[in-house]
Amino acid sequence: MKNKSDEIQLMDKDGKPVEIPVEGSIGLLALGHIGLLAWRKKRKEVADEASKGK
Amino acid sequence: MKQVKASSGFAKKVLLIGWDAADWKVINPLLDAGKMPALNKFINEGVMGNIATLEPVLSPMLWTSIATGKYADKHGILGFTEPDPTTGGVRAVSGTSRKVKALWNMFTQVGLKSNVIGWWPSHPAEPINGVCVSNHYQRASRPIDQPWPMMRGTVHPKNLQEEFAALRIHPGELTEAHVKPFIPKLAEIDQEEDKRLEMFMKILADTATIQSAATWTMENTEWDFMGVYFDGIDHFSHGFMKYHPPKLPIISPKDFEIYKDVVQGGYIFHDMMLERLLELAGEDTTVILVSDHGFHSDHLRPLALPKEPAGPAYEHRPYGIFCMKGPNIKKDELIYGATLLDVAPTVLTMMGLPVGEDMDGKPLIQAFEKPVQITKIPSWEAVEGESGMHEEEQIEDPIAAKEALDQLVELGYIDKPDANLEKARETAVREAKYNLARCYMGSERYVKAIEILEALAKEFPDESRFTIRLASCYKSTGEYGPAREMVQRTKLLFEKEAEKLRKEKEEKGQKVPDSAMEFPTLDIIEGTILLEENKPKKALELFRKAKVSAPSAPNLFLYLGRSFVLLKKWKEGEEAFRNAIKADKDKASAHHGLAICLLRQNKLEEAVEESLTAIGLNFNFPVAHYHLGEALYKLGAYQNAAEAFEACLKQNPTIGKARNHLIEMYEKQLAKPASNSMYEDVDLTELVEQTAEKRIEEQKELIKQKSLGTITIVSGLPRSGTSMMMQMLERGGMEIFTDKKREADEDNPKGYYEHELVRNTMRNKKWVKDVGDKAVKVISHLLFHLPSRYQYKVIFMKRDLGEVMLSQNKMLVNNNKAKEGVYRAGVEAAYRKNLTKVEKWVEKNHNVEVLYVDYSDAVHNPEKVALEVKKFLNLDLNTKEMSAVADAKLYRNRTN
Repeated sequence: MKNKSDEIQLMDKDGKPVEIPVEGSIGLLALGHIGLLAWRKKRKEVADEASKGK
Repeated sequence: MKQVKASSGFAKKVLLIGWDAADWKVINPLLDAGKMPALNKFINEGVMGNIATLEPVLSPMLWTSIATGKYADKHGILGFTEPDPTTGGVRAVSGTSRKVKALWNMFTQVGLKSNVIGWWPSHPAEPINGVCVSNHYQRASRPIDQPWPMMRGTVHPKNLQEEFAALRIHPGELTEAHVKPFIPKLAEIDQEEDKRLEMFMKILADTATIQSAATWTMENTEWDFMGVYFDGIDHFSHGFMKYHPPKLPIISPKDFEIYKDVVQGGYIFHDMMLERLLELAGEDTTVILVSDHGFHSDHLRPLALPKEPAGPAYEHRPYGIFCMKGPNIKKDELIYGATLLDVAPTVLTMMGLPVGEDMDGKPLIQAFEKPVQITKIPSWEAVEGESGMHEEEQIEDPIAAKEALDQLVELGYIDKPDANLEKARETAVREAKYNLARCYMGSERYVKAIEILEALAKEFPDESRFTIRLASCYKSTGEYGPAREMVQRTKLLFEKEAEKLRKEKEEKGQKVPDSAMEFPTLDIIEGTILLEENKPKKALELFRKAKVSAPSAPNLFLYLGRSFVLLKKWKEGEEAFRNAIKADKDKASAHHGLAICLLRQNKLEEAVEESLTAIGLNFNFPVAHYHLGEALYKLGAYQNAAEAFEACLKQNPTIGKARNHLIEMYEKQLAKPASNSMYEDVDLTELVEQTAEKRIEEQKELIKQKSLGTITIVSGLPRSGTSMMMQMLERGGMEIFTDKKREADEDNPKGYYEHELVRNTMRNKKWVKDVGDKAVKVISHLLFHLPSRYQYKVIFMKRDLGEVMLSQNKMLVNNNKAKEGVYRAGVEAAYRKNLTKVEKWVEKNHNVEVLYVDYSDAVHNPEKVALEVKKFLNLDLNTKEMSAVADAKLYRNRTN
């Protein structure tokens, strides 16, 4: 079984990548798993950045 | 039946979305304000309407009825909890208690792929052809810094467990950004003291988890059917509806300001999720959005809940939402008459599969653009092959499991569970039985309900809810004595409770008002019993009394209105029903009552309007269709009236009055071709007449088919030979409906052949159902009060009126009630009038066939009359014996 969400990047109506807020949003939750995974990915990126900076 | 094969339905795929407790009353203002754009688009592209819930309004029972098309007594899910046979205690209701197949089991049997996410109850996940994520999936039971293992049996197939575990959202993961759209004044909450925020975050996380699992499944699996259940709206509503505008007096201004947007926010969030689900489903998928019940959001919000298990269910409203779109579904239309039981048959029909005849619902064909052939099989339960249900040994009747456990304890095989567990288990069993009784009540199977409630009332004599429901059941079965006994028993319980409260208050030095010992609820119940007995005056007294102490008691104005209708006080009735509508404008029966009062006052347009409102609120309301028909008929709108009568008969084929109207209209108004026909060269007259004639015959035939049975009646004026005819029938071999209470005397030396109940027909017609194949004597004045749901064969005795008067006078003289030869003024004229009325009644009522028998003829030519009677009744009667009855010696009072 293939997990399609691995390949998906969130785009807006104009086809531009969506900026994911690190604090999340109900819009992302409403999108379901792709919103959730995108938000968690963003959190991880920010956390990694923060730990690098330490 | 061995197997069912999938054929091609018009729906390629079906997505069934459940929004527990969603209600149009909350949704409509949000749609108007443009705050639910996805739902707005959905309903513009499909159909929408109310969906009637079932009794009791408890979600696990209801969602199982949605998935199976069956009442709870068949599907076996009977509440929120059930005895746990493994621990001896109680557990949340589980899918293993479901005794019948759900949609996904049927689809598995025909090789279709189903995904089921979060359905209540669906734990443990069933091994279906597809993915099943149980209703225990989303609950986070531990803090975020602790492990969150998935409960065993949550996901099928097991290899997807990890995938789904990762898709769960813990409430602790949520941030201010998630909460603020719902609670903008978040900062004002004292989070140490106020646990409502925690509750809110749990609900939001649970809901988002279901969305996460659903979207993943939709994107990553092939499926033909997908069922997704969200409990978010129900949970937001139970927690926060009391803060929803308009502000309730019991709510503090601060709480109102903080929490007033939660419910609205919950709906908006569901709309956002819907948008995504619709996007993933695609245009060619048939989508159904349904709620199991509504939720009071206005002045009907209860300010206090009863102290009983499932008390919060009193916040539920009896109508949920239903929307559907997809291929062959009408667009932008309202549909009427849906119930939760119809969802499964509708899905099956759309998928080209047969509906089980043992299902209690019907396909909602009124939503289909083009007609669809409905196929049926006796039962899906008889279909063989892998269905994905749990193994038979896993499926259990929780009550039986409890009994078995008790027996093992008694036999000493297992230890007695500790007292708390045992009490919890007893409570679960008691509630399951009570819910089953309420299911029977909701489907009008009162005898079965009585059986359970009587046992409960015996076992738990202090529980007034059992005695109150018993009173209601007895009333519905016409057992007014036991109904009153139950009211009295309830009164004693209420008094005991009130006395206890009084003592408590007095000990605290508080004053107790005199009204504490008044029980308007019981006055209302007693009043409804009196209404059933057709004693509206006495009922009115009790309702008026109740109005003084409880002016806003539920349904009080409705009952006042009904009393006025029975008393034919149309103006007062109108006022009462208008008040009932003021209290709850969605009460279909109040609009219907108002329609009747307006109709009788000849306010026809208004009567039409109110009937239509009643039907709009509750389409399955045959008498409302009938009164709509009557109002339209009086307005001369014959075609529309005919449609209303036809709708009435479709729902209740035994309402003879509607058929009488229809036949009359086909005969008179609708048989005429249009006067200025544009097709002048074609002679339509004959064709139209033939059609009308055919329809009349069809309707007459239907009267016979749909009636509740044929009743043989002997009628006539008193002293016109009715007893003699009864005797002839008895001798001929017919059984007689008589209680033999009125004994033979000088006036009727061979007996009266009467039944006391018949004399009370104006008030109580219930005896008719007990007549069966027997012959019953009904004097001519009572004929008009016979219920129209039966077919009647009336042998009507005719005798010279002078002779009748003479014979009656003699009888009165014998009883010292009159002097010989002295007649009461006007009686003869009244009798004459009565006979004319009988003829008209026979002519107008197509469920009545009559044989007029001349008394003198019966005495002098008994063989001929016996043969006529035999032929009329189409029975194998012994005419020789019948003829022997006539005794010319008894023909004493002749005028010539």
